Amino acid sequence: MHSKSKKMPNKRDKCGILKTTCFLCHGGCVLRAHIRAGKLVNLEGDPEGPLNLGSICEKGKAAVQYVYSPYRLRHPLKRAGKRGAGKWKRISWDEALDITAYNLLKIRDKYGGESIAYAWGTCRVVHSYPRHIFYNGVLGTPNGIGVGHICLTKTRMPVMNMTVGPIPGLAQTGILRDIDRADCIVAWGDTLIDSRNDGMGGVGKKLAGKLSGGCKLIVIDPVFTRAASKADIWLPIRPGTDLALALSWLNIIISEGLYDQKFVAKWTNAPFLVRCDTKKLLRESEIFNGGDSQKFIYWDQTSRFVKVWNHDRYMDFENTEPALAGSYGILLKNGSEVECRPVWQVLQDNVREWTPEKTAKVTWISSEKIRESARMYAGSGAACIEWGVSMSQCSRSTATNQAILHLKAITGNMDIPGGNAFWHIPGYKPSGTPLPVGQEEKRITGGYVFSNPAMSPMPSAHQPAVWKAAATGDPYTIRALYGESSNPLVGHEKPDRFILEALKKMDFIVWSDITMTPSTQWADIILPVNTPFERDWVHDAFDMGLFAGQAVIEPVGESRSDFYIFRDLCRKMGNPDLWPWETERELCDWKLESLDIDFEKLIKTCFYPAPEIWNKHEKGLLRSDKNPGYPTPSGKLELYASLLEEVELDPLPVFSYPPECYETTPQLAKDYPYILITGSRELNFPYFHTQYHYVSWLREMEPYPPVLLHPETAMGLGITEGNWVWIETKHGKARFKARVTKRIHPKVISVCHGWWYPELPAPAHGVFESNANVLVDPQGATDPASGTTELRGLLCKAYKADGPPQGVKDNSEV
Amino acid sequence: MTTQCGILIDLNKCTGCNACIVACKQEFDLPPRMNALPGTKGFSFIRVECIGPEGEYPALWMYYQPIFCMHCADPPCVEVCPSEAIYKQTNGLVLIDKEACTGCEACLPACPYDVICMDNDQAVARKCDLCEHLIEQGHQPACVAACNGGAMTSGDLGDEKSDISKSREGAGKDCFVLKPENATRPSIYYLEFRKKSSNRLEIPR
Repeated sequence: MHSKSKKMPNKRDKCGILKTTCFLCHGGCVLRAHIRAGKLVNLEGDPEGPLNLGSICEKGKAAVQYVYSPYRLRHPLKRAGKRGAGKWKRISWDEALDITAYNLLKIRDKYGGESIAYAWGTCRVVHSYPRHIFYNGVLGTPNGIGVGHICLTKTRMPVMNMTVGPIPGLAQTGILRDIDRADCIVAWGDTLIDSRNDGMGGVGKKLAGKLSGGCKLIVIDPVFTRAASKADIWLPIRPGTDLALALSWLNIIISEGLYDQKFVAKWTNAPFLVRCDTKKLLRESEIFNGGDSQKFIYWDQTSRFVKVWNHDRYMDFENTEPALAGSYGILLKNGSEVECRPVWQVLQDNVREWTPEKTAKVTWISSEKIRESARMYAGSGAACIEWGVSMSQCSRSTATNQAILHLKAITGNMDIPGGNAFWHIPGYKPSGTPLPVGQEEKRITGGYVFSNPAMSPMPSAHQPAVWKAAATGDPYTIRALYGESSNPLVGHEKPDRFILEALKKMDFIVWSDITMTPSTQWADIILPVNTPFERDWVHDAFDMGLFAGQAVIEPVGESRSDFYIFRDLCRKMGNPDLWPWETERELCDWKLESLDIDFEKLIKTCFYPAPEIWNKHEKGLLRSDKNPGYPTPSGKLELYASLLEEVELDPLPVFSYPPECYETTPQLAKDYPYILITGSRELNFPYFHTQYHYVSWLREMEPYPPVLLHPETAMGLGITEGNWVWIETKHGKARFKARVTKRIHPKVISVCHGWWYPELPAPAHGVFESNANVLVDPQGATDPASGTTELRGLLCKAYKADGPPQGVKDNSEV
Repeated sequence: MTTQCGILIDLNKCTGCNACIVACKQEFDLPPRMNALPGTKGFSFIRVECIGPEGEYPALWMYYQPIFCMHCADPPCVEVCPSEAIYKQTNGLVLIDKEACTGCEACLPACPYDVICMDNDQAVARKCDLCEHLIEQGHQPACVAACNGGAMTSGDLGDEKSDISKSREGAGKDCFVLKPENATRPSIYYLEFRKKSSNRLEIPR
């Protein structure tokens, strides 16, 4: 035997180590960056990272290839040929910003700020809040277009808003949770392990540790995912029927008395009376002369008389006993009597039909599992629901999200240790600038109420409506676009219709991004931006608190942080006062000003914990008047949403089938016999939506766009593993590569989203070849409040393709 | 007792995330063999196998299992190497001397675990060395440090007091090695995947 080995060069030699935080997904993993001679050579998980506990994922490990990718944009570019022809000329930053400022000013001054739209991505590479200084303050445009209506800002945030009111910080999203202390975790339409949701960078290690320690896991997913394989109960739900399951859980939990009775009676609007005739909440003005139309009524069982709930000053139901059940004849001030029932009674009546047996027929989950899982969620102590985005990707998104929020509320799992947390750091400053007077009204909302500030804490335009406006001039013409690290031709719905047309028509397009994408190819000016490893930043969109990352290397090429781009544009466009910071660090310090820490100190740990204060509604920490309760119109957690009632929408969740399905459109189902899921994170696994397909270590894990098919289905269609397959809906078709697996229901087909081919020739980069978004239609059936497009639970057909898209080399095809 | 470096992998904690593969590639700068152009496969020292899905939808079970050089106590690759390039080091690691390797590929079929691969650029056989350079400095192997599920424990199996030995001892019969019938005495141990209540199927070993 030999006794010594030949030494290989050790990449840790002569390395300095700098702490920073990963932001390649929604982030939050604290890392140790190994730097040699100014170059990033390695990243390791930092054991002190409170989310990742020392682990790091495949994306973080591949980051070196991402940062130094040959695909990266290294200097500003100006279009050299026809727009979209893919011909570019290198220019200086000064010239690029001068051209940008000149064109945006010209268009703003001539047509108004609303004629400039900005497209935002997942905000990996920008300072999330200050960018609104530029968009709102300088451009003055209400037309920001993103994916809020199929993600967070226009679906879950308004639902949280109408139920618990506008609450501070990112708790508004309703997705924060305290995994560390949970006794039961429900991954509802969330792949947990694959998805790396907000602040879930370290979910693997935490989850694995928790499950070993006896914490229960319930996974609700049509596909047997990695998380499902570790679940105590997996509910294999039929796509698009989550609302039925949620209503059934409510029914079981209420009828079996598994809810938190004290919480429901004291903190929710369960006792408020609802008129049986109008289905509206009874108001004081309806029963007393001079009564307030904003005051609600309940029935006191002690005095056997109606009482007025006074939400102006906090008042418990002291000395009264509000009725939660029954039916009461109430005398109106006009002398007529009307039958009224407490909200809790109405809610129970609303869910009563959803027996496990009926629900089993709709959702394809066995009634035993429905019962068992509802009991497990409500009976396991502290439980948190990991609120997947899939419920926000159907045309019943408001009702579905509301029903799931009801579950969290009535089981008393909101803002408790181990439940769905309201993490918040008092004093931390997000910043922004309001729109100029009169601009809010010009927002293109598509008629959806969740675009309005009254309903949504982060109001935004309705993206499909803005693209349509840009293409058709209805309601008015969008003339310019500021693209900010977003890729609408891949990431937005039905891009082969209005979006492409709009990009051709606009007068001026500027795009900032890390690499060229099929979308940036349509720009006039390209601004190369930094990766998170070249920037200083603080961000609060995580569980547990505030995270910070520091620039561990100098910018690659001439790339710059969006901070400096916005700073210089503010200056060049005549608003230097709006952007008072010279450097990113100054901005970070300003954000931290009211806390006992500055950036320099913060990056020693990269983490600033949110104070451990629970049940903030009891302590007067949610309302601006400091009274206990919630900042809703009634001061109560509104199970019966008065804000929805005001806009003539159902105040309680009501089930309906997907707009395309066997029940709704049996004729269509004859031609399109399978249920299609688009957008599962499982199939987007080494990527992050449209990002990282050019990172080789990641791409080799998933080299081709996958489609999941059950073996029976595949066999019936003459498809075998690895075949290229056309997936076609009535809206469009695209090609994917078959992965034949028993993990999916024979009637269901799942395709990956966010796919483009960086290696295929510019400018198209194969943008529509394997693009799940050409299969959906945002102008079709949508959620009435949020305008959510149906992305999951559409009908489709599948058939074998001749081969891969033109130019795609697939040596593995059999 | 002689030193024998090894790893214990809890299959209940492995999430199948592939972070170990990229960590390994990163550590050794293994070429992806494609510049975002699919078609040619790179090589890696680790593969993560999906065991299953078994059963019928929806009564399924599956788990993930990382597989790499087992650093066997009786390594067959050492036996067959005609140039004595593969050797067992005093700390139990099975290593390939790149200078001595002639690229004859005799070791590839000799390994029951199929974990030796050819580096065609250098015309040598390569495989996991358990990050010897890191172990020497008291660090964990790159895959263990990265592990997203915290599933891997590394250490000296020869030392009864090491964490890995204690975990192996504590796990008793739940702890197993791959292909014991080959009598290579692997140093990579696995903790058996336990089925959950919803997976109402027996899992064969």
